[in-house]
Amino acid sequence: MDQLLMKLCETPGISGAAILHYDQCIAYQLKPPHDPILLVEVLNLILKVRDTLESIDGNQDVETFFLRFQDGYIILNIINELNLIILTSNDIKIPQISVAVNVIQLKIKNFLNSPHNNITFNNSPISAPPISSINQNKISNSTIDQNFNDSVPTLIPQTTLLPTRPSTLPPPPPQLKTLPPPLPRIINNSADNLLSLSISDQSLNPSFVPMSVIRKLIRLISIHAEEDGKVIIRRALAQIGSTPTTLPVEKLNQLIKSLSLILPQRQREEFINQAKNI
Amino acid sequence: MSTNLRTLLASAPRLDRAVEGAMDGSVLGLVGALDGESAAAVTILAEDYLAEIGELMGLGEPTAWSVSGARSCYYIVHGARSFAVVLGAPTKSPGRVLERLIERWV
Repeated sequence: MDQLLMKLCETPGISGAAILHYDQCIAYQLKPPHDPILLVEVLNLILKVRDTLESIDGNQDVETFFLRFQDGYIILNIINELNLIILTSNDIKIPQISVAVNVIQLKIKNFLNSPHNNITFNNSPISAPPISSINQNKISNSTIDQNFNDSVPTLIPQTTLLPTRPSTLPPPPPQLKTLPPPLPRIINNSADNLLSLSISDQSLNPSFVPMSVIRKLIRLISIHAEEDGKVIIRRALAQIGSTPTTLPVEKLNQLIKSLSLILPQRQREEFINQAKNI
Repeated sequence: MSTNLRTLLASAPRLDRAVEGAMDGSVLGLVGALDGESAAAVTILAEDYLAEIGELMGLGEPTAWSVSGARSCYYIVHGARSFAVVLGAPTKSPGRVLERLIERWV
């Protein structure tokens, strides 16, 4: 699998790729600071998007996600029980990337359907466990050569990603070191605490309120004030000397109170209660 | 607004339904047999997860995305004040369709 990913990453514009099976990263080619542990979390969030969309078009087997951000793309291909994640820069040629993705998709499908392949997967649930419990056992050497005949080193005890090992093969490489300790949960214990940040909420600077919270406040104030929430929020943030991306956690309460003041008296309490539940 | 949506539907073959939604979840326009309110509301919910992904990976805000399944493809493109949700038949190159939609919408 490493060989497949190395070949894929030679495509111009592709900056990294990984193959995951639920919360296990089977193989990856990533450049720092990207790391498999990030992609496990990304996969979990993308699958939540999939679950959310089921209400629109019913339950269907989702195959591909194409996510375009300001600074790059994330492409997810679901191939049977495997998840192929590809990271690209923004200046890519879409037809070229599409071809590269189709090629690796076919190769992985062929491998999974190959009679030489007696790999089995644990049917573990899709929801991602807390980061601290993820075993990040990457196969450091190429484990499945082009003939797909070599055996695979043991990943973790409960994952049966093991074909039968012929006795003539060398012993597997040692297991990699375990994950570093997880990031501490940041819980504001002050009396004005309105928000406790989960690990997935921690942005690059954990002392700032995440954008997801700001967005929810924008929607909430738009509904109550019947005006463009973004304009209202920006004005309120400017008054307290912050921006949407640099609002300190300890000022969140102040922002909510400031927003409530533009509403009629009878709506303020309801707004504050709803904002506290974000 | 439905004129813009029809322009989007003409971007690629087999796109047949579209809705334009505002950031507060209200429906600004609709073409085709689609529950516009649900589509808009669900899209906004999904956007929260995508925004988290963008933060996690240092890629910034989501600007457009697509989801391809066995029966349909689902595309979302962002504008300055609204977004468009477009549904169509499955395709092997959703990225290309998404790029065309982005060009027509922005």
